[in-house]
Amino acid sequence: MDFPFGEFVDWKRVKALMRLFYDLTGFASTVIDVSGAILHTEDGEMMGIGWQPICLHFHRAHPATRGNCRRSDADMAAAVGTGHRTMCYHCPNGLMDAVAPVVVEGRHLFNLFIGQFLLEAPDEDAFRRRARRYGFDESEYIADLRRVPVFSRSHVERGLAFLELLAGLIVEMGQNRRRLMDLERAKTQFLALVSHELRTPLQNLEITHSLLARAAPPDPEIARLVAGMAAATERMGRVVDSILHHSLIETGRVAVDVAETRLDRLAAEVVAEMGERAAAKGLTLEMELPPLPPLATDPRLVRSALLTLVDNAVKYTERGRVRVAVSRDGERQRCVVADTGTGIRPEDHARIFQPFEQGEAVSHKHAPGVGLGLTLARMLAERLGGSIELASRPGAGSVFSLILPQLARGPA
Amino acid sequence: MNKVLIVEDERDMRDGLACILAAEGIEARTAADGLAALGVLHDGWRPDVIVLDLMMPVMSGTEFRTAQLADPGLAAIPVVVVSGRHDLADAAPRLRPAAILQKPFSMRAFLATVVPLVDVPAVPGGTALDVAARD
Repeated sequence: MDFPFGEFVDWKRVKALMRLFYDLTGFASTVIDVSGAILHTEDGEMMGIGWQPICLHFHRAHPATRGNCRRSDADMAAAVGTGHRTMCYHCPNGLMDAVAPVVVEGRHLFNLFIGQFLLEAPDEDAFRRRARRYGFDESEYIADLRRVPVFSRSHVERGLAFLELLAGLIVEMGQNRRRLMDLERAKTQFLALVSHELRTPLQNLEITHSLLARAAPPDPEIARLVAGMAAATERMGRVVDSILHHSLIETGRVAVDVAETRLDRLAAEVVAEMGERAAAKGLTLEMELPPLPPLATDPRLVRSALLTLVDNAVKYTERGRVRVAVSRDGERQRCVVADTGTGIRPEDHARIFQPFEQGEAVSHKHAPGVGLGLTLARMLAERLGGSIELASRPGAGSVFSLILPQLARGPA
Repeated sequence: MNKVLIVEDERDMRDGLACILAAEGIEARTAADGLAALGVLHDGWRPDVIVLDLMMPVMSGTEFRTAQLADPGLAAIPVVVVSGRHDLADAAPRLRPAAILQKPFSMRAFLATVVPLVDVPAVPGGTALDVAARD
């Protein structure tokens, strides 16, 4: 195992749990690595709760007794080893400690300690002798000793059982978080690789059908097949593109280049681009594009999101119209894409923005694609500080609104 | 003039692109990697534009471009980078290309990019733009 396990654990929450444990049981606790160093949270807070003044002011403050503390920490760490066992021991300074090891994939990484307690009333004379031996202020030392809690064996056993469970949960928490991150990374790499490996053969297809089309085959059936090849190639290219864009946006690798953007003109371009496809389905493409003041945003990303919305509207509408309108919305601007398609059930509104999902009533024959379009469009909108709203119900068509704010100049 | 050098390790692709350009009346030569491309250039054949793939064996597109820019006799020839690399938008600008085409690109986009960079004559059967519009 070569990963920094500690970075996968939410130590702040572990510390909050230890604080409650102290409030409820009186057990002081800490987390110490195998070299004997006390762990810290990501905010630099020490992982220690409820420490006894006798340890803070005397045992761990004085060089000779601090050596005892260190030695016992190290001895305990070594003794618990990799056996997943808890243990209880007398520290050389006269108190009791108990420990549960955190063992991940056979490696002993940390110890959860409870300690600085007694199992019976202390022999004060022995502590007085220790105070004199190390030159402690005897009356203060004994006053601190009297603050040390005396616990029953069953209380300590239950405390240890708690520690053992907590150690197990910490291991699971860290391992699950790491697995999740590994999976995310593997998925992103896989998508990027797949998309790259598909691009080269797609390019060959594109060149070949282009050459075939130029050769002007006399047979209309062959010409029809060549045209079909062109359409299939283009469709595959779009799928590959959307998979790649998804993995790029998801890993935050899409740069935002802010420029003066005219949303009305952009929308007009997108409508023009989609005109042919809408006409082929017998759909009317309506525009309501009054001139708007320039918006500081990334025109390339806006265009991509808008194209997806209009493309989807055309794809999922069998008859009627698709309307594209822009308007001001305070400081923000809004582009609405409304269709007369089948509409989307309210319970599906959140789902259709999830990757690889499509509306339920959709036949793949009529609407090819991998179900990434809306996911991408929403990710792009969010990358631009905006959002996509959806109003739709079955039989009443759908209205998607892309809402975009003014961005600050320079890279976001 | 109107000559294009296509540097691409996929044989079908470089030959196919050469055919497409030939149909436009553009003379195209091909090279399977950066080293072969430098060989063509050092033999004195001077294209108007170089179509350059990035990931190739022997000598990559990046290595080729570095060598080309370091040679005062060749540095001025514009380069169109064509690649399927998923990080093309990040990787390509360092090479100072005249244009970047992400694979798979359409032949319409290819001609619209390359043709303006070469000296276009009248082609029997129509102009380059007519052909592109038929696409």
